[in-house]
Amino acid sequence: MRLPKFEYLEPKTLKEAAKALASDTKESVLLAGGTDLLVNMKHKVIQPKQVINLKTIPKLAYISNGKDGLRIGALTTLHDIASSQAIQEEVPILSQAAGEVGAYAHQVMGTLGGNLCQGNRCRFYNQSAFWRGVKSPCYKVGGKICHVVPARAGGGRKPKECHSTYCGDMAPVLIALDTQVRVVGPNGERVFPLSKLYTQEGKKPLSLRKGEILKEILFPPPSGKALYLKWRRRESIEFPIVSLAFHIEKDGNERIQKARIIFSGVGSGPVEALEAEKMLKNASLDDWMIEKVSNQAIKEISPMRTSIHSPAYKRKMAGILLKQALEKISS
Amino acid sequence: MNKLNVVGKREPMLDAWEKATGRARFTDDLSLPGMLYGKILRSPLAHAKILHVDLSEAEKVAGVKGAISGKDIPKKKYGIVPMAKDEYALAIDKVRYIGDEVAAVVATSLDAAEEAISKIRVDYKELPAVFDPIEAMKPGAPIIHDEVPNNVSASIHKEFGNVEKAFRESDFLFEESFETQAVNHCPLEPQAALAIVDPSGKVTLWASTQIPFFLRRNLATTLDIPESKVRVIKPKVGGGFGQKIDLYAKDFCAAFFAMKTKRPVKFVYEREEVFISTRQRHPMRIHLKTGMKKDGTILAQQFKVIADGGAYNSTAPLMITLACYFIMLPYRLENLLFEGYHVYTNKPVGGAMRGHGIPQVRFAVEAQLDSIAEKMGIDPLDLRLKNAFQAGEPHPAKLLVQTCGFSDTLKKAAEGIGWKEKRGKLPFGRGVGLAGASFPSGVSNMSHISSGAIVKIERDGSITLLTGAADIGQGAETVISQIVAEELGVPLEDIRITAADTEITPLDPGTFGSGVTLRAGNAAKIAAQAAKEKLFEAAAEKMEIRIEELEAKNRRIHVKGNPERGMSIQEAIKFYQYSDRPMPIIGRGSYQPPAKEPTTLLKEDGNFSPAYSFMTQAAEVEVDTKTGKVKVLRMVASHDCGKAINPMLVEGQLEGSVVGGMGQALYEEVITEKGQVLNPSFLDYGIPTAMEVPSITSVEVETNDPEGPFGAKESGEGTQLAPAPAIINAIYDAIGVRFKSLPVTPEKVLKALQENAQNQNRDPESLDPDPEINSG
Repeated sequence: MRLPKFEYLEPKTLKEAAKALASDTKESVLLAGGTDLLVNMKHKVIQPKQVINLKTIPKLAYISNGKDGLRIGALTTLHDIASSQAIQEEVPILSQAAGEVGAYAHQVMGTLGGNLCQGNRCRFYNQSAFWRGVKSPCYKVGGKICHVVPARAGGGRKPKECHSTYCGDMAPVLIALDTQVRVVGPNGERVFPLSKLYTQEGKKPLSLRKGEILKEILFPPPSGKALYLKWRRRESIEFPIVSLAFHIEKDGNERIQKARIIFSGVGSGPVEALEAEKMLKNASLDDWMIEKVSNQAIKEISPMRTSIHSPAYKRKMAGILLKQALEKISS
Repeated sequence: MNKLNVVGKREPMLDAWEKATGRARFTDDLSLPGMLYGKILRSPLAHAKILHVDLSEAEKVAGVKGAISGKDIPKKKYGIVPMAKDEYALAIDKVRYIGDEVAAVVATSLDAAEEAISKIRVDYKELPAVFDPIEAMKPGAPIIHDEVPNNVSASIHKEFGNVEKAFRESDFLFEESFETQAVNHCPLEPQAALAIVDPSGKVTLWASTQIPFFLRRNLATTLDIPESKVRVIKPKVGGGFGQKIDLYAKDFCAAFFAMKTKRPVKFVYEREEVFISTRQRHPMRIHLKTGMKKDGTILAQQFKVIADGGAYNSTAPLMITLACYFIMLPYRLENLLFEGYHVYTNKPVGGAMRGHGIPQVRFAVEAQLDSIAEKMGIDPLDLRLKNAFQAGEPHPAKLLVQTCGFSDTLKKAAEGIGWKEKRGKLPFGRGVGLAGASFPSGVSNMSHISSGAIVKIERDGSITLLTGAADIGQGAETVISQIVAEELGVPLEDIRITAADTEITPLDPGTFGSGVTLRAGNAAKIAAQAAKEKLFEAAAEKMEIRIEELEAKNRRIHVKGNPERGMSIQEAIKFYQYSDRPMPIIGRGSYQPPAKEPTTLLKEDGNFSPAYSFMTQAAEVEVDTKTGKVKVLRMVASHDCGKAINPMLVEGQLEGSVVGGMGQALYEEVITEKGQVLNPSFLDYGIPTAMEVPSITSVEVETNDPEGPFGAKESGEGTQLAPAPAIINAIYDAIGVRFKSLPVTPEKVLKALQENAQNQNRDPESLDPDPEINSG
């Protein structure tokens, strides 16, 4: 499969890149590691007029741990994060998660920013042009149907536009850690919580405004305990069938003050189980409580049949992962 | 036997360095001036009549040099089994599965070819399709090939002994159904072909193929030109596993367009094309009834097997036949009733894949044997040992088994995995299991199943070897060179080998049916002996002794047992020339396995293969009872390969094959929905990665077969018959669940564990998954 034709730009600054990206005359995309983008372009689900290469812009790849806390540049490769001693010491869960993305080659090429902005996935969408040609085009590629939830004949309930699933490894971890992101647009910068980057809409999963580019990720001081559990068939290559980032903070008396439960692979963005989190506050983690919390959490996710794995199985595994996380934390 | 110097040594593969450093040239690495790139348009419909193909817009794309559809090609069907030809290189009348070839283009760039493909307009009349083989067999089902109104394109009904009587005489009867899934061979090198035409009109095709001489024949047939106008050369091939024995549209189209455009033409398949439109292992539904005597003797078995063949035959009759005959090895079985069907469906096509029809039925037999053993209170190992076939025993289908190390493989695999200490004794979640199998070492007496070789002794004492054998990564060239080096008493580095070029090298059927070492190895051995004899004549004259007293060792020709009395090979060559003997020194060898009776098995019984390999796989698994994930911790592969010409390569074969079998057991499945493959990529298709590979111990059992070169038999292909049932049996030992359908995914394990837990709460009696045991 060949890449479709496109114009190619190597901007010198983020500002220049943001302006090019905002231009109305060209449908542009950003190239970082390319591990997600190039496959989608070869599959012709994305056919941009222009590709803007961010890798030529200096000083976007860094891991800095200064007085304002840990900051990671968006173009830092996953491999650098997985192997950084500073991160291994400061936020080991982050290097662990980076080391579980795709396969080694993806980690060497793929960047943190690219991973956070990776496209939603669907078994009807992430396929070649030939494959998709067997069916009518779906919403995600400009068509009028979602093959995951086809509209019922004779009208009835109007289906949600696109049910594609967010399958990133890094976002749940970074949301659980309460990180912020700095984005640069044609008219300046803004900083907001990473969780707000995700719209939970399959067709347009990111909340970035026109021309905005993810620049860096900002970490609060490390606290509590965090776990990342990724469920997949093989120990390499795969996206999570479902994964869980879990972060917990206890007070001096070992009482849970705060818990974050974020899943990947079970919704149109990273999904936070807010009610289950509330249950954990001040709770003591006995078997009954663990069962209760995980039962609650799986009510808060809505996996769809967007991969070869059934929604019921994803839900079941989400509960099992959370139980495992709670057992680990409590022991 | 004499002490061997090269055979039996752990020599690295001759091209290992080339491959490891990326210098090896596969078909896609080849490039010629003015070369055109080809692409194939495939059907988006599972079943449809082709009304019209409009190529005009495609032809207008800049750089396009040609476009064809089915109506432009000779109306010549092909198929790997002559009696089952049912396919055109490009679909002529209708398409029968999603991915069927409809049209092809060539252009000066791949971009142009891809663009052109997207501009071809095809009018179809969609036909009702059928995706389930049992539905396809019912009256009124859509007819996929007009000649086969019931969609059963190959079948076998065979009875050996008297099954009805044997069932009456059985003390126990067991009856179960099993199901296996479609798996893809996943050669790392996708199918590719490059063709040129010389001014005389002769086509030369470099192709990623296992069988250059068959490909030459099929290509000549489909192009409708004489075989003498086709030359096939096999460059390095990145794995085949049976998937590269068929002719594909890429071969035909490369040659056809080369003839048409007079330019070199290359076609390379995408991974998606490998998944959807090459070949896969047939999914099978297997119903199996077994009659047992109280003492553990397997008295009779009855099979009903339905193989989902997909849209075309490929090897259908052979596949279903092999499934039948290899029920009767490695266990003694006097009474067998086998009913097997190969059924067309509108899905990807089944073909030969490591084990060729046997792994599926072997899974059923070996899984059932374990459950029989348990119910009868016999150790599964003892049950197998009791029924193990032995060398020289009469065989109900007249197979001649001259050497058989099956019992030894059972004992060694059991010992290797720690059977006595572990079976039934490990904590819940851990278990061991084993399974046995047998496989032919090539095919005896079908047409075209002879190998030739030429050995030339050069003036400098080096050796040139020409063999038709097709090395597809298994190391055939290394093994055959070792055989020649041993015979001529020279080190391996003195051999130069040219292989698998239909114009230069002697006839060879190619790599299939696990016959290469035995067949091409014997031919090369005979050729080496013939060349050696000529040199010995001269040396004997010079030394004034009889030829019979000479031997060749360490680059010398000398009196047997007396290395001092003799001369170097170079001295012998010098004398040979100065004594006015004709140069060059050429030895020729042709070998066909001995066969006294017609033995295609398709119509008659008889000795199918010159030798049979035997093997046992033992597995140790760990089941995560919380998530259902099965991890294979260890596999012991014990294999009677006759004699390991190169133990390192045998181990490589065993290890690769074990991982393939593990893939079928736990990870892999070509999933289709209305005929469309849902997971045509390495991302979504679960082939095990290096991370999943368990610790594998290979234990060779050597039986020194009289027919094999230096005693060698099959290794590698047969190995893939037993890992899946061994793993499934180990899972039972671990968690007490017998799985009858593959693959055993974590999802299935989890479900079974939860059901068991619920049953346990309700009614402990109902834990037994197969209550239908009957006293006879």
